[in-house]
Amino acid sequence: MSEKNTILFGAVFLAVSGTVAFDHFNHTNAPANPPAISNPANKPSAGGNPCAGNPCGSNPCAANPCAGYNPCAAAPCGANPCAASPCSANPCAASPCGAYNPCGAGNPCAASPCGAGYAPAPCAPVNPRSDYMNPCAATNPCAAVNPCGAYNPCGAGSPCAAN
Amino acid sequence: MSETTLNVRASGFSFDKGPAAVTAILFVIVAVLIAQAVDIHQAVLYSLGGLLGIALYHASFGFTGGWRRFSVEKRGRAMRAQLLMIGVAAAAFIPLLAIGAPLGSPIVGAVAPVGVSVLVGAFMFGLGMQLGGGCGSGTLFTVGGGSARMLLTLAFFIIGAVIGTAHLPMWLELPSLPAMSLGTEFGIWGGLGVTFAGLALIALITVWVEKRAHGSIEAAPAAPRAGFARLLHGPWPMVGTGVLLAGLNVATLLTAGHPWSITFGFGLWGAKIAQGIGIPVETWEFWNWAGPAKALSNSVLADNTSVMNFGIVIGAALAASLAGKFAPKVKVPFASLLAAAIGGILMGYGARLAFGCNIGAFFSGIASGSVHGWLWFVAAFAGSWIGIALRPVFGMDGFKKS
Repeated sequence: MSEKNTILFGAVFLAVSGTVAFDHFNHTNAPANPPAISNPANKPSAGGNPCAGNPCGSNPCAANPCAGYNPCAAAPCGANPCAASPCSANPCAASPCGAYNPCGAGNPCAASPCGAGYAPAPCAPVNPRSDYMNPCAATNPCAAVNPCGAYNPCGAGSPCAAN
Repeated sequence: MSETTLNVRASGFSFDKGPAAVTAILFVIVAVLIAQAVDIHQAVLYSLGGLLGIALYHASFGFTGGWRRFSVEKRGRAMRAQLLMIGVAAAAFIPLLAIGAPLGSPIVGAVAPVGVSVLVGAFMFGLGMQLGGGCGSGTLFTVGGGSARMLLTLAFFIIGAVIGTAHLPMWLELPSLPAMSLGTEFGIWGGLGVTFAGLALIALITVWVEKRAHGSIEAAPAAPRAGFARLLHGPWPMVGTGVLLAGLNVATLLTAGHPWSITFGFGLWGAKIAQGIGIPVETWEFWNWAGPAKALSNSVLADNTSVMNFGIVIGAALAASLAGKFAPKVKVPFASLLAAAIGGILMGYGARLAFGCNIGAFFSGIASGSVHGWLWFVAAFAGSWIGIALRPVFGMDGFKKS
């Protein structure tokens, strides 16, 4: 190996290692409950808002295309993807999945992307719209063991339910 | 023999002792760090990547060279090894995917829609891989082998992948058929039958073309060494390596829950770098879709594709050291570097549009029974043909040897 190449690959290796380490610690060291909104303009108004201080930051609904009721819709959660989600009324109404639409007619997900009859084909790994890559996977907020199970801001009894 | 070269007399080969020791130690350290930083699952995927890197390097299992050799020299041995590899993987994938959760955790295949984006993206990818000098897997294992030129290809591959994520939503508005899986459409046996028939047909075409041009089929070259020496030093047999790669892809499917893929990681790396320099990729539609959003907000070490890619590079570096070929070339002409950059951009952008590269769409796609994998192959092969014709513009071999 030439000296030039040693320097080149050594520099690349160090740069990549540093970047990966920075990225890893930058994410894993994030507070468990990050601020609800990073944009101060979207900051929740105090009091009255059942979403304040909880669901919009680490909100399990944030990536949940199946939230039937968006607790943050008219609330201070402008940055919450649920707010503008076409799924807010019906996850299948105007699916964000477009060409992949797991909710489309003839699709095993038609009844419910989270239903028992779900077949994984439209949620293939190459499908960048799936929940890495399967909207019906266990990690999906819609799955049985989902984060909404433990704390479902969309469910009855949730502090957001009355919002 | 140099000071840093160890001669293994009993086996009859020598290797770069220094780089081999460094890469072997590095490989283990990275595995331990990933296990500590994330979990053992990611470390296993990284190790699978390492084995893939070693196998790819030792067999020089590149799609680019194999396709070019068939197109230019009418020799189809490498292509037939690729087809066999896909067939072996399909024999496991299609039944496993039909089961759904063979080991308890759900698995999904590389099944994607069949549309204009695949057609255009795969064509761009095929063209780009001939200019870039490597496909998705080829770029990684040659970078691991110490190629400075392929480092440039990889850098532009990443840039192209990020640009692709910006434009993909627009491309998906164009006409497309839904994702179709042969296993779902025709059942397990029907899906396997159609897949095997398609692969066999292409293999027969390569045999016919080769016999017509040369009168006979090329035999595998005799190995310069055997046994343990060959295992460590290479070269590994192409057919055997193809079967091994198929097995490793099955292991990936069962471990990760999805088949082997490469280029999603490139897009993710690029997006994270772009974020770092102030480009708000998190506002782009693609990075707001559930999967990409999750990957972008997590550590890169939590991304399956990324840790496997890291494993491939370091595994290939280890293999190159053992083969005594680490960084064989330093000086690269400017025109060749330009081709590497253009090829990298085309591959990155094309892979994003086509739902994967030669691994994620061609290998894993066809093995999963996805119709999009077949469209990918046809379009990429056409692009590859044009790419070969364009190579002389950049001072490289084309259809006529320069």
